Amino acid sequence: MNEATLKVTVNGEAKRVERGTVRELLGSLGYPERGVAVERNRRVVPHAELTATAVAEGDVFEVVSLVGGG
Amino acid sequence: MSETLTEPVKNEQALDQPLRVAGRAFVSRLIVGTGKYRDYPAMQACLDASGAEAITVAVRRERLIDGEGRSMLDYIDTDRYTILPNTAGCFSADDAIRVANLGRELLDQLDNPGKDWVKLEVLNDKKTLLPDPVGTLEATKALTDDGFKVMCYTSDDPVMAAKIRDAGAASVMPAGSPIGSGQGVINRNSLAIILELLKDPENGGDPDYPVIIDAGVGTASDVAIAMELGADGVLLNTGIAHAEDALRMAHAMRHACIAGRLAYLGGRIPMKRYATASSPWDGVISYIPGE
Repeated sequence: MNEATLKVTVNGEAKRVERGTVRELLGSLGYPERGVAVERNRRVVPHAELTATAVAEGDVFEVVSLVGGG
Repeated sequence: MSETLTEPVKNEQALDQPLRVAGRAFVSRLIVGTGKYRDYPAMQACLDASGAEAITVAVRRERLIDGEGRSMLDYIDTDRYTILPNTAGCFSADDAIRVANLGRELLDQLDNPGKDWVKLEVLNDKKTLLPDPVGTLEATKALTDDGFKVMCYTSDDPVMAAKIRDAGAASVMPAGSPIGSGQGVINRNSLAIILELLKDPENGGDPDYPVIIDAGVGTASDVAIAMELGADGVLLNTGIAHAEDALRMAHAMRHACIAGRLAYLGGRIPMKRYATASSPWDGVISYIPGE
């Protein structure tokens, strides 16, 4: 077990990611700065708090955008 | 109901009041979805042609950027449209509440007036896409308590419509027929009862409470029929997006919505079994007075 990495779930997929903030996690997964909303353990993390929120072991994330729909 | 017109009107807007939902006014009574279009430019052109001022969008895990680096939002003027995030695809109140909150976060980033709004759908199953009434009611209450303006998709059941209104929905949106079915309004009687229950003061209703027909529109006359019944607006998506010529159909839907609304305000004539001549009998050639 590498202590530098954390086991998390992003959009239903298990991943091993670097320790850091939610903002850094999104960047490492290739998400843009704007236009995404993040839910961490079933609670929305507001855009302004992404940098201040640390990723923890076992976190479950949903990362979503607006798409066409009716 | 509007005053009867006694003089020609100088502009179209004098013909009707705007649609008001939760304190926001919309001149157009048509609300359109953004799904199922061939591509983003086609969607953009159809939104424009429909005249809609409110549009609905979905919230999904998909990336915002397409293969060519374009985002749907590059084709939506966020200053022009009120964007209503929907909870389409949710089969529980819990999921719908989560999606509503994610939608609120996305709209907050855009500083769009739709940020506290949600087009609520809590569905029962993928085949019928009928609403789950219990989950719908639960989510309406919870989201309203959380400050959301809930525009709530429901079936054409008048009892549910009243309960959803009582739960705090900003608008009740009964389906004309199943989502995407193109069957139009299949139960005019149920919709007429909903409109009477929710809007007629003699039945405990409020004439200003917005009832919007959501789903099932196949062609322009379906929109006109819904509006002639007295609906405050119509929400549709597939009827435009999957038409052979979507852009022409978008124009048609705009006209139909206006036509149906003005016909409702104009007040249709009663139906009669036999003919009534429009031209006078007196003075017809060969006419013998008294015969």
